[in-house]
Amino acid sequence: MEFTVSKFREFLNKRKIMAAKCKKCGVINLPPRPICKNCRSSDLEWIELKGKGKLVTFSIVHVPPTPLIAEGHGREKPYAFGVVELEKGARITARLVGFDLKKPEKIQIGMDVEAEFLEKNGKTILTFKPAS
Amino acid sequence: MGKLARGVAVIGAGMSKFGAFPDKTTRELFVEAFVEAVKSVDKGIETREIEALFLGNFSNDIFEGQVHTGPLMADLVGITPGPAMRVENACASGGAALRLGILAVASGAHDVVCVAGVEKMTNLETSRVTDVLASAADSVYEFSAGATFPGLYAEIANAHMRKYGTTIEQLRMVGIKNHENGALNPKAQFQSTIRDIMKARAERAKAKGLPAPSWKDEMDFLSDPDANPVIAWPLRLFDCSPITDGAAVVILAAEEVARKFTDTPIHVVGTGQGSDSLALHDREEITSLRAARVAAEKAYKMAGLRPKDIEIAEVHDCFTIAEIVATEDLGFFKPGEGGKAVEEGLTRRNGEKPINTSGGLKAKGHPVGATGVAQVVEIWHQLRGEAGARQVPGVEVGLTHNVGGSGASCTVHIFRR
Repeated sequence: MEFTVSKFREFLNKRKIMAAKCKKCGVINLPPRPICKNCRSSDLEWIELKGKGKLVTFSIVHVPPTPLIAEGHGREKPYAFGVVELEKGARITARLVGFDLKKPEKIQIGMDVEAEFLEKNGKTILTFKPAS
Repeated sequence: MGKLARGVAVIGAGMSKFGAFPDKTTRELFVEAFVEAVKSVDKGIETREIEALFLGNFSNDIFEGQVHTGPLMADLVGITPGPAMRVENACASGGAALRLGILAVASGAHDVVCVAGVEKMTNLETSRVTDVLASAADSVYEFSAGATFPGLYAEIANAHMRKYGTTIEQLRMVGIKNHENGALNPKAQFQSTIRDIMKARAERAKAKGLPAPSWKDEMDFLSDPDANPVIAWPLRLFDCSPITDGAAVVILAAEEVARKFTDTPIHVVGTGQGSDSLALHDREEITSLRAARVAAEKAYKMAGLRPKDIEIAEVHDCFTIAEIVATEDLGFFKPGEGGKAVEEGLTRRNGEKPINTSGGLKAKGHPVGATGVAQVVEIWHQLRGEAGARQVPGVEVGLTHNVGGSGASCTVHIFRR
């Protein structure tokens, strides 16, 4: 089984966003999955996605779960996350960085964003920031 | 396909008080609901006549460190040695248990079964409850990116507002309405309208010698960031259902034997269930739940009814936006028109489509695994004309809609007097 969570993370550690493209129907499965979400074929191949996309939706979290409290987040220091579309139908949930969270109206659905890889505890985290 | 092999009816229903009960475990909550359900059977029932237990429960593993809750509860009330099992479908655990109970009776395997739901959530701090609830989302790809449960529904809200122009005021009107209903429900966690809450806060401030807050009206109060802080933008505290302890129980019987127990059974005329991707990024749409649309379509088809035939509904308003999306997915209003319907008062008790007369998850409370069963308890009371101050006169057809996670599971059930 090749299109696994751990493979996806290995690629991320090399700063690559890799998806499983279906050789039959052409749909890009992001995050990767072993069976195509569209046509259910298991004839897939890895493709690398460029880190440019559009913001599909988002939220700014003021009451975080414990791992983010450990990172210092809370009412005084909220964080944002959202869904980003990198290619048609290829979407992923990720943290949003570089936005002014005191002005939520500045975050607009449909705006251009680009990948920003952050290093945390020896792992690479995929985040997105406003496109330059 | 799509029909029950034989008819099934609800012959009894009960629930515990919903709220925060530091001195109660799941055991006491379940027994409280069970005893009320048994008492509600008009002509009486012996526990030994109940052949099996289907128990909806989301996460007692973490909340109490206790699993195997099916036989644990069955033993307490004497359903043992019959089969007893826990059913888990996140926040739709109760609805899923209900469906399995219905199918077990319809199949002929059992004549009388108990369907229950229970959750004891207030032992843990809010941050840990946030972790547990978020585990109903995609833990690898959503939780790791910082998604919380309110955060996921906030994503749905932002997308809905952007696509249809739904307003933050319309979301707040859902909360105002459900608190008005909850104020009339003696089992609700919050038996107070938003106005009652404003008054109590003003009095508290006065007692402490602080300047009295001067909110013009409910909307002004709900816009005050101190009174109604952001949980996950754009959702604020009063857009979210609370953390709740509680249990609910219904007793189901085959139509053939139902009259032995009551002259007013509530007939199950439709059941449907659907599923979808856990993660929002894997779904075709973010502003509507496919699992809910599929569940509704199956239930309507089985019942031979259309959305306009439903006279009253309990829907899964874990967040205010969720009620708006639910009323669209169920076909009560067109996609994008749920917000306007609330604004026009159509979903109030005296409106053309009363929604969440119990107070909904927002005011009645949301003990996750109990919710799908508690919804049936409200429909049972309403269809029998026993809902007291919140009774909608003369209703004969009711619907329940129970969602798991951010929409990866949904059950819809239709009942007729």
